[in-house]
Order: sequence, then C-alpha cells, then structure tokens
Amino acid sequence: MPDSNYSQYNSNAAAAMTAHSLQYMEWYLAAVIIYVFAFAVFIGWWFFQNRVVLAAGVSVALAGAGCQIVSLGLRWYYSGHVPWNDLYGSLSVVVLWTVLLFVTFGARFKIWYAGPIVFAVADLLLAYASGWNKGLEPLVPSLKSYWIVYHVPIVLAAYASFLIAFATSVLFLLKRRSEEAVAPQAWLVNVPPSSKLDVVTYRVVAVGEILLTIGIVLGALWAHDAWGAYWQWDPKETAALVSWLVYAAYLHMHTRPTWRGVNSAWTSIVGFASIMFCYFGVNIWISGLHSYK
Amino acid sequence: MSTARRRSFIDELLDVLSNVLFPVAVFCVWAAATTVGTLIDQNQTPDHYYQEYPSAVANLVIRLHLDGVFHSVPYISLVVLLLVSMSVCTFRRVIPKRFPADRAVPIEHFALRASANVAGTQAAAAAASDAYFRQHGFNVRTQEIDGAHWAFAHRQKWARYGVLVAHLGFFVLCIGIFLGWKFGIRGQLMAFDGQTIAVTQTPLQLTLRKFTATFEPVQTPTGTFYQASNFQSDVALAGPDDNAAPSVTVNHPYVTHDGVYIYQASYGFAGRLAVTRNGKPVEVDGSQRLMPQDEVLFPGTSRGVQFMTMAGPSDPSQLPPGVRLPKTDEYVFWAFHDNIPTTDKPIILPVGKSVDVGDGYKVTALTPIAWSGMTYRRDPGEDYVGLGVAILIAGFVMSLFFLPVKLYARVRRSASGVEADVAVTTTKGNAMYEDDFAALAAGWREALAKSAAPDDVKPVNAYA
Repeated sequence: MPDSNYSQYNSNAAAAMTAHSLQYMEWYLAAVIIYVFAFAVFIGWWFFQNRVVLAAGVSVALAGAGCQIVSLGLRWYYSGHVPWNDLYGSLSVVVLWTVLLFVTFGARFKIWYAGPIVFAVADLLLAYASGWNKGLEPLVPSLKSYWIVYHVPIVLAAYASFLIAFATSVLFLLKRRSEEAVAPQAWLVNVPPSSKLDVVTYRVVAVGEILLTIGIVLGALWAHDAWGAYWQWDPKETAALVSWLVYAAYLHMHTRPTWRGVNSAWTSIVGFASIMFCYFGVNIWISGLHSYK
Repeated sequence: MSTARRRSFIDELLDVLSNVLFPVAVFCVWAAATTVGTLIDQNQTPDHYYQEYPSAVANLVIRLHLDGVFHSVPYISLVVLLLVSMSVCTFRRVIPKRFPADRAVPIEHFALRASANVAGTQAAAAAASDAYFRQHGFNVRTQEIDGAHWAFAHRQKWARYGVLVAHLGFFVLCIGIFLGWKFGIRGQLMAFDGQTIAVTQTPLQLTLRKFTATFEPVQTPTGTFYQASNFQSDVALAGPDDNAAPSVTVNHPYVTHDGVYIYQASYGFAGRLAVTRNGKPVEVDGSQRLMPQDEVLFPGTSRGVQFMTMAGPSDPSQLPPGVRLPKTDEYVFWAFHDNIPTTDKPIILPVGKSVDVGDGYKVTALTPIAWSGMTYRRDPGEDYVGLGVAILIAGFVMSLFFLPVKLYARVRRSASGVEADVAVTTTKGNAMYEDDFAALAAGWREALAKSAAPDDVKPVNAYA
C-alpha cells in the first residue's frame, strides 16, 4: 500500500478572503485593540489597587472576550463548522479561554495583579494569529467528528490555564527576589507575598493539568475512532505528553516543602515553554497528523 | 551480618524508589527522551537521516538508536521504572499515611491558629464552636480532657485517597495497554472496487462494493483548489457471525460482532491501460491496476510503460491550486524502451484516448479504478484503558481540587473567663489553606461572640 494516507489530508491552503471573512476579522481586530486597553488598565490597577480601576479592567477584558465570541460565532456560522479547525481559530480560542479563566481565577483567587502579563501575552498571541487566517474553508474529513467539539477546546483551555500559571510564576520569581533583596522593589509592593503566589500557581496548574489530561484522553478516543489507535507517537501527541510530564513533575515537586517555591516556579515556566513548543513548534515546523496551520 | 546489610540495602533502595523526587527525576528524563523522539524523525532509513541532518547529527542518531526512541528498551524501562516507583510509593507512603490522630495537641505549635477570649460559660462557647465547625462542613468529635473541651474535626478527609486512586488508574491504564499490545490484532487492508480480500487474523472476508471520494472547490488567491470532504467505502463483510454491508467513513469505523474495528484510512485511483499491437489486443500483466511508479513490460520485449499518476475529476485534490481541472481523468506515464524513455516529457493521456508508443504498440487509457485503504484492529484491553482513564481523572480531581483538613479546637476556663483556641493542619502544607483559615477563624470568633455578650469577646493572637 502506498505510504500516503489521504484521510489525514490537510491542504493548509489559504482561501480567498470573502465579505464573510472580513466580517469576522473586524471583530477579531477589535478584540486585539481592546486587549491593549485591558493591559493598560490592569497596569493602572497594579499601582492604584482601586475598585473602580478593577471594574474597568474586568469590563474591558470582557468586552474583548465578547468581540472574540462574536468573531468566532460568525466564523462558525459562515463556515458551517467549528471555528477552531486551524491555527488562527484555535489561537483565538486560547486567548478567549485565557481571558475567561483569568476573570474566573481573579474572582476566586484574587490574581488581578497578573493581568498585565496575561493580557500582554494573550494579545501578542492574538495579533500573531491574525497572520494565519486562511479564510473560510470546508473541514477536512479527519476533522469531521463530534470529538472536535470537545477535544480541542478542552486542550486549549489547558493551554490558557498554563499561560496564567506562567504569569503567576514569573511574578513569584520577581516577588521572591524582591523579598530577599535588602531594599524591596517599590513596583512589587502591592503584589501578594511569594508564598501566596506559589499557592495560586499550584491551583492554576492543577486546573490545567486536569484539563490537559482530559484533553489528551479525548484526543486518544478520537484517534481511536479516526485512525484505529489511541496513540500513534505523532509529534503532537508526544509533545503533549512532554508537557503533561513536566506539569506532573511540578505537582509531585509541590508535595515537598523544600521543592516548593523557586524550583516549582521554574518548572511551571519550563512547562509553559513546552506548551508553546507543543502548540507552535509542532503545528508549524514539524509535520505530522496534527499539522493544522 | 550479611542479612542485616542486605536488608539495609533493600530498605535504602525502597527509600529511593518511594522518594517523591525519584518520580520527578523519571518524569524529567522521560520528558527529555520524548522530546528527542519528537524532534528526530522516527523509524526512517539511515539514508533519510543523512539527507535531512548534518552528518555528525545523523551519525549520532544512528549510533545511539535515536531513530526508534519510543519503542526502545530504555524508553519502555522508564515507564516500568515509574510503575515500580509508584508501587513502592503507594505501599510505603500513600497507604500507611495516617491522618493526624484525635488527641490533645499543643495548639500554639501550629502555624495556622487563632484564639479568642469569651465572657460566657465554657459550655455555651464549646457548643457554639462545635456548631460553627459542623456548619462549615467539618465532621466533629468532641472529648473532655483535663477540664478542657476538645473538638477534633476533619473535612474532605476522603480526598487524601486521591493520590492512591490516581496511581491505581495509571496501573489499570497500563494493564489495558499491555493487553492490547499482547493480545490485540491490527492490520491494513487494501481493496480495489469489487475486490474481495481476507481480513487476516480474523475469519472475515471483506468486499469493497464501492469507494466514493468527494471534494469541495475552495477559491484561493492563486486559483481554485479542491479539498477532500469525504471518503466512503461501502463494503460487504462475510464471516461466521457477521454478514453486513456497512459504509465505513473517516471517523466512523464499523465494529463487527467480534469487536473488530474497520477504519477508513486511505484511498487512491489506479490507472488502467489497454495495449494493442498493430490493432490486435495484447495481454499485459498488471496493466489494469497501475499504482504510481508501477512498471509493466510488453510481453517478449524490453518496451513498456511506467505509470506516474492520475489527475482529473476523480481525484481533483492532486492538482496544485490554480491548475485547470481537466474535463476527464488524465494519466501521466513514461513509455520506455531498453530502460530509456522514448519521449522528452512524460506522456499525458486522457481517458478514452490512445497514443502510439513505438514498434506498433498503442496504449489506450481506460477508466481508472478506485481503491480503498482500511485498517482493522481488535483491542481486548480497551475497556481497561477506559476504566483506567476514568479512575486516573477521578484521582486527579480528588487529590488536586480537594484539601483534607484536620482541625483542633479547645475551649477551656482561664483566669479572665473562657479561652478558645483553634488550629488546623492540611496534607498540602499551610499556605494552601491560609486564606480559607483566616475567613474560617473570623467567622468562628463571630460565632463565639454570639454565644456571649458581643462586647466581652476580645481577639487574642489573631491568626499568626
């Protein structure tokens, strides 16, 4: 039998931009601009710690999320299939999840101080994704499955959680350095103590790891339906396994008091780097069954 | 002496295996090995590595066997090592791990603690304190010790089994994978339209009744491109327990009564050529199912054709964007004589047309024949895999989302009235419960205050 396997066929060709494409792109670009404002407002909150500023930041963030929801909805409506079938759509969903989870975690764990980092990274991802817009294309056969409705958003929610954990880990390291310094840095005074940042990071990583586990499992079930094997050692699968292992190591390390803190924060940062590799490295540079650009 | 030494060595080994940092190290090595396997193309020929990578890297890949990381003994050993460590850890740490006992403890030694002086009676304060913790989900047991009222309480105590459950799930998952690997069957099938083939390792016979591929045009900046939208194999299965005529499409496998899954995997169109010499038909072996690169020789000669590909409405996805789609299918092939092509360029021949290839031979393109590639498998371990995954996720949720908390509360008489203290400890350290404890302690003081005159309650040593 020839090596080519057409069921995995993925053109990655760009469709011509139509009026419908331009509609959803306008809402998308509106979100990119609004998140810049959200970034600015959360920087303001960092220094003022004022309820009004916080309310403004959350409102602006939710307005951006609203624009994204409209953009994704239009793309779904016009294409007739889920909008997260390519890098453009999936990155948009990652950013949407990031904003929604940030607001949720913010309300629960009071992590508003991570807002500037979260919105800076999220907006950069969103702006970068716009370059991968391929317009409205029909779905390839391998993606025509109800599993795409569950597997992809759950994995992307895990990525979003790890992005937030990355932000709190970076803050942890900065705060810890400030706490250990003779003269604490003034701009970090309003940030909670590093011990609290460590706990918050753990909680966010825990959410992300469970989501990633469920996402990998759903992906395996989909692979079972589509390709006849739960696991094919495809680059995307192995890269996801690497990320899962790094965060599993993080959770194990966190059970030991002496390994909490700096070591676990660095592990969280390495974990996020592995997520970035799993997402961009595999989709863009390494060809495989998941090379959806 | 030697027995003692041996026991000591075994104990030390078990200590290492059950140390939490051991699986952390294994996770890191496993992740590194998996990264290597992801970055380096796997299961390729040595030539591939020398073509794709610099010589030094290719040498390294070949010598260190990095071309087959995932099925190598060291890689599988990492998983085995993790399972061993998990087993040892489960029996030495997780199962014996006791929840703090119900006994009078030195509350002042706890990091998470709070106190309050109450002006009312000891009994009223104790009742209010116990009721408050019960209202907040604590399971409370009380005891009088040396005149003090003690409450020993716990919440989400069951969650401490989360690690055990997660480890158990991983074990069950591995058992399922092992059963599938050891006792499962798996193979590939390729059938042309109308062909009947045996599904090896099973008693089944499969006939491809009809293969259908559908495509949708996509307008791109460089022209129209045809994207595949569906592949469907209409098959007939015959066996002792199965006589069915299902349709198999991508993502929708057919499952036989025996649990054999049949999947749509690949497809193609084989070329068909009719050969004549001086107007008379010539039988040429293999000319009716020509796959790309197939060569056929005309009988008794060194003449023949090498089939390259087919382009046309049957499979428009083969055309690059912007290239005009022919009205009929066209074959691309070389005619050769003594291994030398007889033309400068490959011959492009529409279906229904003929071409003279020399020495009186004429080749006519016939309608192509579709073929479908299918895979099949039966996995006796899949139920265990599913069960293992469910247990693993349940264990994760138990151990990561819930926090077992042990609480000690003491109410005793003091010179100034009644003194109440509360302290907590968790299985995940104190920082994890700091905020919740601050809120719990604040509410507890309010509850105590209600049991006496509000003005008489004075917080002491409020939450250190």
